[in-house]
Amino acid sequence: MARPTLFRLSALSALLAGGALQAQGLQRPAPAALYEIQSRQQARAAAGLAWLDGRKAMLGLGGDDSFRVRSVRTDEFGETHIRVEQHFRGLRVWGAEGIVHLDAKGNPLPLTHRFQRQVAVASTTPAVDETTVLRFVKNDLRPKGDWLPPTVELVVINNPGPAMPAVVRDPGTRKWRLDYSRAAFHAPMSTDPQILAYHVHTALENDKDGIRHTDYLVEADSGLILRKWDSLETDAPAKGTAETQYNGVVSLDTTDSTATLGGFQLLDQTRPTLPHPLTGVLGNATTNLHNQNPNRFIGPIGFFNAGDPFVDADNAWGDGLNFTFDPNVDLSATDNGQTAAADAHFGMAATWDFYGQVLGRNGIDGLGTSTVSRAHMLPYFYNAFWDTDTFSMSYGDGGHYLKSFTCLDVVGHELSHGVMATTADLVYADEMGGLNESNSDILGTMVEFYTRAGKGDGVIPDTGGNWTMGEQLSTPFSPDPLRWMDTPSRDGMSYDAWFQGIGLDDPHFVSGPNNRMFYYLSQGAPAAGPAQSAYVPGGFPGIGNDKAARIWYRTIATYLTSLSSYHDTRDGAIQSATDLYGAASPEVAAVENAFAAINVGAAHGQAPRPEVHIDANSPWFNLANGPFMPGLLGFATSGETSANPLFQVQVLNTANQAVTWGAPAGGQMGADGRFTAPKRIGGIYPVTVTSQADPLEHSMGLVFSVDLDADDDTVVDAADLGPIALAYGSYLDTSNPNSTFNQKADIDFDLFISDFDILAFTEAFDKLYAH
Amino acid sequence: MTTQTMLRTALSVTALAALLACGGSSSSPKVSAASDAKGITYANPASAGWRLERDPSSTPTHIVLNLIGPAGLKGRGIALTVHSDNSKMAWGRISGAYIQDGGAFELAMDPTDPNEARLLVGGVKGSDLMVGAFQKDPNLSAKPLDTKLYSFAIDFKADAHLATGETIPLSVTKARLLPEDLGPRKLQDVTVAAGTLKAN
Repeated sequence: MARPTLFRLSALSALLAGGALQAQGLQRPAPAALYEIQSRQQARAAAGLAWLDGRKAMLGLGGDDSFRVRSVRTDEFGETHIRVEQHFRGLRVWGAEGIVHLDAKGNPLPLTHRFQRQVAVASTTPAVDETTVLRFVKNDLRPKGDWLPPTVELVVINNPGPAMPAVVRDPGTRKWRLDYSRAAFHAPMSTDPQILAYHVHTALENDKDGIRHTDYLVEADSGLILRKWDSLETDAPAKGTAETQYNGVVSLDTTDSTATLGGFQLLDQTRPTLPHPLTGVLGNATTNLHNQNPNRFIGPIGFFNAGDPFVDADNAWGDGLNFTFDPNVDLSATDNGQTAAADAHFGMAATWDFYGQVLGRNGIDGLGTSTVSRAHMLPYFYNAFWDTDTFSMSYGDGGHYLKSFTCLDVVGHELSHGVMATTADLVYADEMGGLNESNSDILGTMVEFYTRAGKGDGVIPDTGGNWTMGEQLSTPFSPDPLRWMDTPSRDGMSYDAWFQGIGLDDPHFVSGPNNRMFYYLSQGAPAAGPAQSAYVPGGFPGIGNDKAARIWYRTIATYLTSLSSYHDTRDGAIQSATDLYGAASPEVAAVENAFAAINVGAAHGQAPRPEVHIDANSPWFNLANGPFMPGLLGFATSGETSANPLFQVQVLNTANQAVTWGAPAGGQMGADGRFTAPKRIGGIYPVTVTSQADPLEHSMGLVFSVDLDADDDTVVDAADLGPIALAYGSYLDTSNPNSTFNQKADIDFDLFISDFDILAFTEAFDKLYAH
Repeated sequence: MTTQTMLRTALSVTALAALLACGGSSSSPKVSAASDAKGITYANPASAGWRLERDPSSTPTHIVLNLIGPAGLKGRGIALTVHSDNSKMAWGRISGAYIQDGGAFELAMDPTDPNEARLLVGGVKGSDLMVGAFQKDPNLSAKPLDTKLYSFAIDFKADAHLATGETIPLSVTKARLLPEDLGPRKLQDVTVAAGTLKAN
């Protein structure tokens, strides 16, 4: 997160002049004064925007750059925060955002921004039209069911650089593998620093495709798909198991619809102030999908299936028992079927009240917009998800291994994705995706603590809740919670600390360190036991849930943007703690310690630790700086040792540059950082490097290897395409005498020759011989 | 050495001597053993089987060669290694690539989609050009081979100072065919005839 020095000096001067404001945290204006400031929000925003416009040159922006306001919010301190997007000749610059902060008097505060200097594109008219791009996207997505054009936006992006394959970590085996269900990415045709691209958001929700949301970035002048990622924001499926429904006997806000529906319905009209954007209904509704696929966007017009209302004659809901699904009979509207809906409805109200009473936020989007919570999504759906486009939540019933996904912390988790979408809007990939997930875990947990106390006094207690996610879903067949926030690695997949390369993994596991950070911030870090931090082993005290949650919320609402990293988050959290409690406060120190305990930045009063950074220096690709999959280091070819990646390492904050390379399974690392792949058609090799100055510091990257000598004649040439053609669309064929690659015994994953292998081979071949 | 050549040589030497005698400050003109070639020509081979034929789009400095197969045969793809002498020629590009697909094979479901993976490569390693195109989908039918399967190019190398009429070596050292019958699960070695490449 960059802040121009000029503006920081202004704030510093205020501090040096003995400004008591920052030393004690921000002061809250009297209610009348705050109301007066809020009533002038629009004019203040205009002034803030004019101030920003006047500083374009200083920010490295030119006449073709402009700003578009995304949202404006005035907080409890009378500060107005104006989120803006950078536009270049009318096109949004992807990830280039800023936040103008004005104090209560309207004076500008240090700017938060990630603006892109000196943007240049040859033309803002794409060579490939939108219709053609959507055809290419559809070719890649290959929907089996209904398909209607998704949302498309022409944007300017920083050139993402070379191609990266679709790499995932298998949740079962924990090994890195190629995801054959996805196409590989491509290198852009252009080598310009910025290029035009289409951002395409697709959503398939039908019986044949299931539920799939996928986002694309497509080069607008070539039609090449540059990046693709899953954008369905869910809870992670886990090993499932056993019992009881969640909130006991509770009071629900409903609507008497006896005249129209013959009974009461689960529609809460007491909280929202704006109708739902698609249904037009005012009120938070909980509806029934009858264990069907909602079949969204069917037909030529487009259609959001909001579900049917739950109706009850005597306004008494549920039977307190987990839902019993019968594939032959629709039981979703029975008393038993109402139970999951009642939990979802209660959770919606509890989350809404949490945001309002604790954080002063009006609903999910801050504007009081009504939402829809759809229960009984599909049969045996082990998940729940938030969808920004339809401003709705959907809940599955689970099955044998996990119960209905409507427990309180899960509901709070999912609705907090909606809050994230209308604040920082962290992209659901890489470190940003992990932080997005962690935000939901954090605030879902805080909803649980606050609601269980039942006081409604706006203060989050430190008792009554727990530090696990989804523990109420468990059954004897799957007894563990979905995640542990104090010791994330306990699930066998999440991480306890940050390292360079962490963003390669699934957002639900990349969230681990930030969850732990929040736990430490609130509860402190112990000096022994499973929750002890290796980075601050002596431990430190926490500041409690209430303060920690306020710091966290201010961080995402005021300082983070869509591409913020773990380190950006630390900066934002320190600033938030400073705003709330003062620069020299124990709260700021606790934030520093909490992040240091997950290996992000220095502990309070301590020197920074060494940091290990791998930079790829390969004749193939330099992927070190990609915004997506930043840890993917490049291609290697077996046998072509001179062309294999030679990784250079920099160890920051120490004069000792000595490192130890981790031996990747199957591959070889030379002491100089030269990687040699084994002879196999393709593989993913994790490469780790550890600082000898501080063995707790390491970095990880992945090397993708291609064996170009597919026919094993020791010569790499075009004839090697032949065996690939012979094996295409099938598994290894031991009868293929044209190639011995099928005889390699050291494979650890099924090798199914697909388009991905072809692309990997041809791009590797081109790199060697076509230039 | 022919009489004509000897006469030319004598004249050249005389000219050089005259210049030296004048004590001229200008540099001596480059001595040409013979007239430097200004381009290249290609004569098709006599073969009616696998062969490389000159494409009409060729120019004196950019020869485009088409790979054509024998009549009556079908196949699913073929790769070549073509050998020459890169001190006397350069491998050229067609529309920016070392290989131009002729459209005979079905390489993709949507031929206009650049994202779809295709088994199509062209590259250079020293004096060797490696080109290949294969159908990836075994369910597609094999295609007749007696047509332009794909093309590649040879460029005249001006700084090679070739003599007019000088032969530039050209041969296909490897050719592997994916046949119509996939039953044996085997690629077939075939022989591809190359014509005569000369400096002109």
